[in-house]
Amino acid sequence: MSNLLFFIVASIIKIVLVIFILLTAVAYTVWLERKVVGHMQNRWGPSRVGPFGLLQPAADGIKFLMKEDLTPPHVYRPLFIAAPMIAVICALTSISVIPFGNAITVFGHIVPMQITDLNIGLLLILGVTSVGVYGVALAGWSSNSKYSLLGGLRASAQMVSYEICLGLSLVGVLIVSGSFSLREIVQSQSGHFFGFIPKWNIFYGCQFIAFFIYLMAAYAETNRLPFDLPEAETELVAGYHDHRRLRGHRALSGRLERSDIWSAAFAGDSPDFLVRRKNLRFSFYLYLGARHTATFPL
Amino acid sequence: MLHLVLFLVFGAICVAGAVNLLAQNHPISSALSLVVVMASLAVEYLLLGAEFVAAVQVIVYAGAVMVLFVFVIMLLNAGAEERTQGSRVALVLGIPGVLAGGLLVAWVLVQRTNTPEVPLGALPGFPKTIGALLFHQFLLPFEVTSILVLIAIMGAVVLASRPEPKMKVPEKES
Repeated sequence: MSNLLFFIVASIIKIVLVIFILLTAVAYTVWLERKVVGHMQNRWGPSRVGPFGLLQPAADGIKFLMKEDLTPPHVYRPLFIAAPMIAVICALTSISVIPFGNAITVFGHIVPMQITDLNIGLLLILGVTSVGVYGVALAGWSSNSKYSLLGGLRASAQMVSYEICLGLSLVGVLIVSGSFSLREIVQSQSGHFFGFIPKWNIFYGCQFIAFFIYLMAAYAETNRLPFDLPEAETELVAGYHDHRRLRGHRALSGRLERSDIWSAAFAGDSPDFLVRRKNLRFSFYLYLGARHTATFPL
Repeated sequence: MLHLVLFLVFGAICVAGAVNLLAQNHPISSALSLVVVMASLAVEYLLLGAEFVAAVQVIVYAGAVMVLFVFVIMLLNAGAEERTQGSRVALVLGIPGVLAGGLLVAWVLVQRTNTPEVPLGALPGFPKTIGALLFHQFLLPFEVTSILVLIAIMGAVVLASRPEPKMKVPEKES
């Protein structure tokens, strides 16, 4: 019984740690992106809050939490509330199979540095991502506005179609590593060719093509810049986006505003950003191959 | 023990989703209850040790098929269904029929004791095993099924395509 208790406690600690670190990382990648893009465009980027604007993510988080939580009339209430939850839950669930390092021994128990190691880890990620489409589609539909509906349909159609590229680009990796388990995929990439080229899948068996496809599909999946049709500020007033969707609503009706507690509290920014991080890191794991020593690659 | 508890819990969720699917009168709510049914079925497969089947169930049914259902419902903007009193035939024949069918299945399952009992989670269904089975032992049924699916796709294309507009003879303007 003490084994079971230890397992439960260890799992809870791991989940809390991973979520905390991940969300902080997401917040600061947002900061970094704004900073870098700002400098590229000859602007300063965030610079007011704290040194170098370092406290900007915290300020944004507090702002989202303190916003008045209005539900506009004429929305389909249950789904309006549930849709952002679905998006965030799906984004967070897929982190559970990512390995962060080797197993460590605590009080005589072996604890793998991973929330759970599944035989079907990669399939779980694909499945959870495909369920995440509901978050977007329902967010668009439930707000009862043509613009949001069109944005949601565009976004979910794009996500469904690029999922095929995403899945097929992983086939090469599966063939090379011979397993669906992310831990085994990472381990199969340890070591070096000729003592200096790392044995990553991207160098092995022409996987760089698959990597490129994966990267592009990941951008499309998350509606990032070359594929940001669903947002389309000029025609769809930002479409479905969870709290942006509500910003869109505010733009439409001129008075409505609702911060999304869930996406703010859990994601710091819109959930899609979280997904993008995740996808980029998956590509890192799958192709560039994490060192299989206990590093924490971020 | 844990397996059994989870099995019962997700079985209950599955049945509740199915009942909710019938009880809701908005198409979107019904479709989402069907998603719940699919997802809890996937968990049941997982508990039975069929990991690959569980994952495919989620990816294909919950992730692809039901998304299309939801899409169609959203695009058609289907409103709430009308409630009717229901047909009397369904009441008189349907419920006893369902009960009798369920009892029959249960009776057959109880009677068939010659198959050995397998505890939940004892048989692992690794993806590798399934792949080997599909491409060695069951290659012919697998290929035949794919042709069947192909035929179904062609039928769908034929049904969905519009009839070709008849060639109109341009009328001479007098």
